[in-house]
Amino acid sequence: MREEKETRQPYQADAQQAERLEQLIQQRQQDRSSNADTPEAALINTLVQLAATTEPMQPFVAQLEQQLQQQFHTASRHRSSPRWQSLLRQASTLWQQRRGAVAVILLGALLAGFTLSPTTVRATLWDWLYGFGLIDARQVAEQPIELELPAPAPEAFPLSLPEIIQAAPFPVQPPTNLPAGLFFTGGFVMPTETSTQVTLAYHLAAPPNAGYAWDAPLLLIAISDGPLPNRPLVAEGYQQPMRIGRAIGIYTQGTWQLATEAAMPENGNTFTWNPQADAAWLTWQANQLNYLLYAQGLEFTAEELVRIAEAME
Amino acid sequence: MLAQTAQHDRAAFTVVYQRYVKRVYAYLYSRVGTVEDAQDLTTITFMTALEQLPTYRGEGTLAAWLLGIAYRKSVDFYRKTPLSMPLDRATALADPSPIPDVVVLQQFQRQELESALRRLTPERAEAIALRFFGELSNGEVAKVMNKQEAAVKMLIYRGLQELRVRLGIREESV
Repeated sequence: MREEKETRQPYQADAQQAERLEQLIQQRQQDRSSNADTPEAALINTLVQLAATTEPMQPFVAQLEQQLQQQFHTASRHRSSPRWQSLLRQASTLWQQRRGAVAVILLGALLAGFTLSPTTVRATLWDWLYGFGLIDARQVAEQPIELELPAPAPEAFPLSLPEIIQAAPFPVQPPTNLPAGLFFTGGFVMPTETSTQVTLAYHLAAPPNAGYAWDAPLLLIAISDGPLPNRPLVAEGYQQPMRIGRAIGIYTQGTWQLATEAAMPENGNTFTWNPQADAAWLTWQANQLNYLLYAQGLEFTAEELVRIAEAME
Repeated sequence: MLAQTAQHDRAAFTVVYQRYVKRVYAYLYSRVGTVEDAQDLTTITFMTALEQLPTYRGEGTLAAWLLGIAYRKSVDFYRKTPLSMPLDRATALADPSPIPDVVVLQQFQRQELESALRRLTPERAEAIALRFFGELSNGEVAKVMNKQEAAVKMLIYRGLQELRVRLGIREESV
């Protein structure tokens, strides 16, 4: 306590001195008297005098005045023009000065928006690009890829629907309405490090003893609370946006097929996209879940897939 | 009132300029130490003031507002420029009548004082420059530097003490 008091005293003394000095400064600045009876007063006098004699050169003052008047005139004209004109002017100036940077930023924003935005936005952009004829179906280059087409066997789908609904970490709503002849034949729940995928399989008939052929008519529904593992590889340029309730999905017709013998290279298999194949994919997002419908051998149209998707809401 | 008129009236803006150019220049010169840099910064200050005049809402005096702009420009200047300044430079003297040896003495004392000012700790130098050369009141200096008035008084007091030490001014020299 005593130390604190002792520390405060020098500060208080300084504060009093500072106040006294301020009075001196004010007095000196007001009456410009040259009483220099203390070193402090002498120093203050000198500083005040120094300040009074520090002046800009007259040619500089005149030149700056002229510059400012020209600038004032230009600024007045801009202030009197409508806001949209000044914004346009600013944009034009920015474009002229930073053409490259602005172009890169705009392109980057467009690409980022396209890749990072939700499916709805991407689909809308896709639709927009379609509308302008900027995207159309095109031949996909042949490329050697290994592709696992769905080839379900009974043991691959061991779980019943109640077991799946119980095991899944999120609500699973199977379609309440299905085209005639399709019925649930099994499914599974597959957890990964970052998400869980639920798969439901629907066939036209009960499985034969040897299991379903890889190209048997099939409706596969995959639901995941993260990115869908083994995400289907669809060819660029064949995707179409489709409205599913309030969501927008991506519909793709066709599938990868083995190239013809004539086109097959000596080593490895190559696949090309066949848009006429009886296979279709519909992906969408709803309730923070990712959905995939895959239909093969059922001659489903896009609208029929959409109806199945809507029956899952 | 003058500031509001100056937004739309060229003559009024000219009055503002003529009224404050000396103070702005004197303040900037005390901070940067060369005529060229002081002129550049004065130009930038008034150009900025012209652009920003519509945003001046009358909070504080016009002088404090202008010197606030000058203060920020001088801070930017110091960020980009090394602190050491050449000592040999000449400034125009207001009074042409003194005899040559007095002029030389005044020049020497002036340079010595200017040099000592620039070697003060930055905040003290800033407070003294705004108070003496910018001719701002303590309250206005406090507003420009974003400090309490009492803190500004203390900065000026300690700055003057430091100046006395650097210039070798002692009690017995009076």
